Amino acid sequence: MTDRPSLRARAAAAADDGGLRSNLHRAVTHREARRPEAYAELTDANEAHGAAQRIRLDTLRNLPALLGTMADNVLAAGGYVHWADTGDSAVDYVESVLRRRNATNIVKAKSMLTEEIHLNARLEQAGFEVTETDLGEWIVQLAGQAPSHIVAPAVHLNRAEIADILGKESAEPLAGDVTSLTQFARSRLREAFLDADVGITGVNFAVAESGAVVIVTNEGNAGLTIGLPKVHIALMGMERIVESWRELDVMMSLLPRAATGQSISTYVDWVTGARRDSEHDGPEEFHLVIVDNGRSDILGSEYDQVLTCIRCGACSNVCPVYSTIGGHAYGSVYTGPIGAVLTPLLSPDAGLNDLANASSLCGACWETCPVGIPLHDLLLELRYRESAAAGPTERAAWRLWSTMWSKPSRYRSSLSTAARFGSVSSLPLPGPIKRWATGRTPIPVANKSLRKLWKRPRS
Amino acid sequence: MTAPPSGRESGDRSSFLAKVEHRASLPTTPHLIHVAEKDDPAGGVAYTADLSDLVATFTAAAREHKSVVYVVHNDAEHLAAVLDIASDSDVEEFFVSDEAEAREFGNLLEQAGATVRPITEPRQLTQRDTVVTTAVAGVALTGSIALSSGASGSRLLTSLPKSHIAIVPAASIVPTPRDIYQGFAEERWLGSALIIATGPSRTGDIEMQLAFGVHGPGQVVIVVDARP
Repeated sequence: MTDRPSLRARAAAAADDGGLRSNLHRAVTHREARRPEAYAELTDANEAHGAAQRIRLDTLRNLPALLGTMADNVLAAGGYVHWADTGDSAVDYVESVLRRRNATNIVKAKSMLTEEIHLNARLEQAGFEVTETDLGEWIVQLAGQAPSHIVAPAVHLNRAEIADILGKESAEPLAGDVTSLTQFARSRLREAFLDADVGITGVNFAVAESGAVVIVTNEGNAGLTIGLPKVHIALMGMERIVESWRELDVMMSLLPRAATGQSISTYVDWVTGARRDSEHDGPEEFHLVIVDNGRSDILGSEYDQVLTCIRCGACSNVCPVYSTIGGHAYGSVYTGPIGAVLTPLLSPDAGLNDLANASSLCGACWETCPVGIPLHDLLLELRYRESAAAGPTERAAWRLWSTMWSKPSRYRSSLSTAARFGSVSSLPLPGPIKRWATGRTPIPVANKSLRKLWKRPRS
Repeated sequence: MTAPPSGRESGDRSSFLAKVEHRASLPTTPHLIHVAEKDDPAGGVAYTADLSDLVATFTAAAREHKSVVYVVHNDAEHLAAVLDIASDSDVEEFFVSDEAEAREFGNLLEQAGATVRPITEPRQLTQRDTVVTTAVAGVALTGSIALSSGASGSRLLTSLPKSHIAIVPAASIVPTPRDIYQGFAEERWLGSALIIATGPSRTGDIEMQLAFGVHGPGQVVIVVDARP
C-alpha cells in the first residue's frame, strides 16, 4: 500500500517549498486575524465551547436513538435512507441510485466524507461525470490533487497557479485577477449545474427531531446542488447529528466562527426531504446515506472524543506543523491535528499510523477546538500505541536509558560521561539518533557539573 | 411515529444500530473543558450585540455583510426606494415571486416604468436576472434573511440570479438565528427547504481574497418595510 516517501521525507520536502510556505502563511494569518472578532460577539466563548462539548458528548452516548429518529423522520417525509456500514456500501448505494435514474452528470458540494470513501474516483471509474462545485474543490479536482485543508481545499495554491489550472479549461485566455477567475468559474460551473441529473452533498448537521439536514456554504453552491438536479443524495458520517434545533443553534453559532471567523456562513440551507407537491422546484427524490466506515470502532474507545469533531478546520490553522508543511504532506484525506488523530483510527491499514508524530504537542489545537477535543492527549496516546509496536532496537535503547537514569549513581556517571565528550550531536551517532540530532542545536555541557560545584567547600 | 413511513430504507438498520448501541454503552472518560456545568447545555449562546432595536441592529449587520439596505418608515420613503431601485440601469427586467409583499413591490416598480415579470419557471432564471422575493424573516444579529420554499414555492430564487431584492417586513425580524431554527423546526414555515442567506455569495478560495457572486447573487438588496 505504501510506496509513498516517509512522513519525515514528505514533511522535509514541504517545509523546503518556499512557495507553499508563503501560501500557507498568508492563509493561516488571515484566518487567525478574523477569529477573535467573531468570537467577541459571544458573551462567553469558553462557556459556549463547554456547552458545545457537552452536546457533542451526549450525542455520542445517544447515537442509536438519534439515528433511529432521524431515519424515521426522513422516511416519513418520503425520503430514502441507506445504512452504510462501510465506505464501499455507501458508494455502491450511490451508484445504484445513479443507474436507476439513468444519470450521467453529477454535481457535488464539498464533502470530506465523500473524500474519505473515495466516491469521485469510484464514480468516475464507473463512467459518471462528477463535477465539484465549491471553487477551491473544483480547482483541486481540475489539478488532479486532493484538498489540502478541511475547509479550504486549495489553500496551498496561489493565484498564478490557480489561473494556470483554470486557464486550461478556458477556450480564451483568462485574466489572472480574482474577480475574472471567479466569474469564469461561475459561468462554467453554472453549465454543469444546469446539466446535472443528480446533486451530491455532505451534511454539516442532521437534526433528528425534524429529519432535516443542514448544509452551510459561502458560495451558494449547495443551494444549487440541492435545488436544480432531480435527485439529491446527502451523505453523513453517523456522528454528525444533533437532537433538535436547540443543539443545532449552539453548534451553528460556533462552526463558522471557528472555521472562518464569520458570525454566520453566507448560506445555511436546511432541507427536509424532496420537493413538496406545492413547490415548483427542488429534487423529486431525497436520499440520506448514513455512514459508519470505522466510526463505531472508535466509539467507546479511549479515542472516542475525536468523534465529536465538527470539521471546522480551526486546529489546522493554529498548528505549527500544519502551517509549515501544509495538508498534502500528511498524505491523508483528513489533514492537520484532527487528521493526524482520525487517520490512524479510521484507516489503520493505510500506512499512516506515524502521523501522530506530526505534532509538537503544544496543545494549540485543543485550545482552539470549539468542542474541546484533547487532540494533543490523543496524539500522545497514539504515539504510545505506535511505540508499543516499535522494533527491538528502539525498545532496547529506551530500556537502557531507563536503567541508566533510575539510580542516582548511574545518572551522575552518565552526566560526567556527557561532560567529557562535550555534546551529543558532535559524536559519531548511530542511525536513528543521528537523525534525531540533525537540525538540533548542540547544548554545551559544562566541565564541572552543578553537583560538583555544590559539593565544593564554600568559603 | 403513527403514520407508516412512505420512503424506502436499505442496508441493515438493526445490525448497524446494534453495533453502535454496544459501542456507545462502553464506559469512557472524556476530557472536559473546565466550565460550570449547566443543566441545559443547549440553553443557548448569549451574544454581546444590542438587540433592543431589531431594525437598527438588522440594518447595521446586513450592511456589514455587504447587503444594500433600504429602511422605509412611510409611503414617501417606500416610493423613493422603489424609484431608486427601478432606475438601476443594469437591470432590464425584474422577476417577481408570487408572494404578497413582493407582488406589491413589483407593481410599484412597474408604475415607476420598470419591466416586471412573474416567475413562472424558476429554473429558467439566468445569471443575468434580478429577482424580487419576500423574506419570511430577517435576523437582527447577523443581518440575514430567511427564505422558505413553502412560501415562495422555490428553492432557487436566491441561488440562480445575478441580483436578489428581498422585501423584509420589519415585524418579521427576529433577534438571532436561534429563532429561525426554532421556527422552521416547529413548522412555522412549511416547506421542504429554508435558506438563511447573509449578504451576497462569496468565496475566499483564491488567496483569501474576497470575491462576490461566485455561485449565488453578487448583489443583495434588502428593503425593510417598517411602515406602520
